[in-house]
Amino acid sequence: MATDLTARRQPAPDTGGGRSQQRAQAQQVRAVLARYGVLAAMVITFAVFSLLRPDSFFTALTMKGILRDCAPLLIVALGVTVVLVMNEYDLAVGGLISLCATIVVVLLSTQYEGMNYWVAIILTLGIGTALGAGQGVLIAYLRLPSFILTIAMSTVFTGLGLQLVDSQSVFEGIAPGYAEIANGTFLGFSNVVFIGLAVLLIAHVLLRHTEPGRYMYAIGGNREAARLSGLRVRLLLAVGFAIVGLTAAIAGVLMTSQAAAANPNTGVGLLLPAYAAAFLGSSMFRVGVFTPLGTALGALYLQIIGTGLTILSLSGPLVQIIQGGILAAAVLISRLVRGGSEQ
Amino acid sequence: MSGAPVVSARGLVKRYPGVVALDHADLDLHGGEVLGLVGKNGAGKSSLIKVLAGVSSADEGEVLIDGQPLPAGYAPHVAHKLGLAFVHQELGNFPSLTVAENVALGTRYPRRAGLLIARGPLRRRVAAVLDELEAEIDPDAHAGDLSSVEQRVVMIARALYHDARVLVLDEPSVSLTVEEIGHLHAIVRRLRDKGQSVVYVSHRLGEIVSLTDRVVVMQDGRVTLERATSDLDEGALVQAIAGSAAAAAERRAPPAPQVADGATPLLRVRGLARPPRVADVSFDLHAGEILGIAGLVGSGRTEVARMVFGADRPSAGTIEVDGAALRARTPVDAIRAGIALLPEDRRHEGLVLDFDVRENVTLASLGRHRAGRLLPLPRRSSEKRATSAMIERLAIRTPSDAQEVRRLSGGNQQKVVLAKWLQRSERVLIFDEPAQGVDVGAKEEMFSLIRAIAAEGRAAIVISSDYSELVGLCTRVIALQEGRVTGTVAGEEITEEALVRLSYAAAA
Repeated sequence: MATDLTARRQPAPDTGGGRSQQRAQAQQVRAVLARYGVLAAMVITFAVFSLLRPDSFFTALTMKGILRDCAPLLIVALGVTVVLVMNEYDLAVGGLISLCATIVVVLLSTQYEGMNYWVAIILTLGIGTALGAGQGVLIAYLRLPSFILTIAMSTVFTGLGLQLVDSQSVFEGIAPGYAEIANGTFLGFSNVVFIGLAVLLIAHVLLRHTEPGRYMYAIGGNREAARLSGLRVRLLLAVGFAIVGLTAAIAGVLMTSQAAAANPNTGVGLLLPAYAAAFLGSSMFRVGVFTPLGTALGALYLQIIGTGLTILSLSGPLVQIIQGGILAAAVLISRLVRGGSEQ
Repeated sequence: MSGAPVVSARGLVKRYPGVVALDHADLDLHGGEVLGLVGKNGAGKSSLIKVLAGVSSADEGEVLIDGQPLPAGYAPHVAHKLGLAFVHQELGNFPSLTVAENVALGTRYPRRAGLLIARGPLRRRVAAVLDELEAEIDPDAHAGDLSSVEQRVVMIARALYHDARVLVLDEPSVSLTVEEIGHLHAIVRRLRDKGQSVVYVSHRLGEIVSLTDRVVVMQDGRVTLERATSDLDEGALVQAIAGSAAAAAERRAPPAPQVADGATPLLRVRGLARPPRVADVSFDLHAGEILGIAGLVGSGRTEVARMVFGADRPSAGTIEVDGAALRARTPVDAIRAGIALLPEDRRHEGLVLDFDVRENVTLASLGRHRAGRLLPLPRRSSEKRATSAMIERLAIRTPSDAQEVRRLSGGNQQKVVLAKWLQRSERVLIFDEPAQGVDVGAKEEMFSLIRAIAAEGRAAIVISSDYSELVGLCTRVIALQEGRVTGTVAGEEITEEALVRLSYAAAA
């Protein structure tokens, strides 16, 4: 698939036209590549897996599995999209997922607090949102650089999670009803698929159809102009980080419900895929613009690769290599395409 | 002062898109003289210095050094080798290096064992140069710990360390105290007495008259006056700087509104300060007025505008809108009080370049396009209607409201910023350099729009470096210099010469 991308990046052969004509052609190739390159790669990947394993990959069961398994990633990636839209980064999201996963299970497990699981879930969502908002306040109001602050907080969150459960997994004393949340089905699809779709819908409406969403894009486009237009830049930044905290908490709940257990390292593996999904999404449609729908397609693409490689019995490291490679390729493509369109 | 000039520029022409920065400029610099270089912002001083420094090359004309044409591939490091040193207005020291390291930077430091810096010899050599300047600066101090005059002396020391014969000082006295300026002048005189040549650029005419041997005045890229300083006084300089074009500026300003005594002004500013640029600024603005703010770049005019708009916080002073105190902690507060700012740098401060025309026009008023009353869901059709109305009213030339503003011309971008504010009914609009980078036609359109705003009973503040614009537009003009109001002129008294005199008023 990587070779496919490189092949497509070759400029059209020189037909001996004028310089400006060549340049216009190159622009067009770029524009087409920008819009459809990642989508085409996604379709091709899907086709390749289907052809290689028609009996195990291209089945209703696997398709449903892909949708189910990509839901937590999708939710986190949507949260990350909100801050990326504002040109900020939250690298603490992985650590926060782990912490929230631990917190919710510690609250509900009879081995620890033994609360009603709905109470535990609501508390956890609140804690996740508050921790995200706390980071947001530090970044927006005290102007700490988000990049380094969130890396630091990621370590803190991961450490707190480990501390809470003595670095042990927790799988005892979890109410069956809790596991049912993520493992139950509705209309033949896992509940998490619907939860993921609901979050997608909300994120889409928020970012693409509301005033705060428009303002968030304005902040990402030009923070000073946004401020001088009377937008509440700092508040919106803080809210953005709070949203990431909320999505991290939702993902933490869903993942522990799915596994009926908490592992204090649950979330770390989601950090890179979440950004990969958002950046892949930003390479579709309008290049360089993060959108919830693009992010959703990016998350789906990553899950297709993950599931496909698993069905091909390829090892975990290879999945990592390919996912990371795809992210780098997507960033490279959007840079090349944008580089051509700016003066 | 006799003999061939050390540096000689002949017929330099430098064009930038839309501007002729240098228009056959000539300049001679002799050994052992201090040459004063003055002119308005944009008169061509910086362009001339850049050509001499090798930062940019002239489109026409030639520069001779010791009678020799410049070598091919002339660049800053070559200028350096030929003995030309440039001390720019911004302090160019490296704060984390010591004075000695800064002074010797760019030469081979003395070494020990061929590799390590020999600190002892380095310190001794630099100390010798500092002694020559009679500067009491510790070569081992970190440059970042020095005062601004000391930093400037370090930069001059750097030039001497490099055996510079020609020293170009670009506004070296800015932000120095009277005492420090005296010290600086003493150093310049000492260099002259040793036979070195100094080009001294300054907007303070007092020091030009007292320090220099000869003065060159530039205007519109040309040298319009070159004379021995002893034959000049400040008044003659002001006239030369304002130039003959002063008479040509046509007054098309609306008549000043009738203001009853004791009427509450729309905007009242008292004692506004924000060091280092703004020291003490007060003014009133009445409905129907177009108030100009004249002043050189760095006089504090942009900073005053930003404070009134809440973009920066003042350290002292009060702002009242319609008699009510405004505590503008952020632009949100100022906008709510009815103030809008069209910033000087519209691309970086006025527009979201990736947004299209519609999104930029409605950015500050999106709440008016809600589908329902409560939910913040803007309705696109309503936005599009408002945007088309603006495109028509301001004659914005764009293929559609869906065009990215990045692709519009400067004048049309400026109109989009104005449209954004006209969507709200702000009563005070502040225009910072509204005509910068705008073609002549668009400029006239912009000015008629400003006049129309005043005619509606709102008020405008216009900042401009081009005083002919202020003459043609304003009902009243205040002049700023070094963060203070140096004077107010109104009605027919507004002439370019008056504004130049006030902006260059002898200070320090």
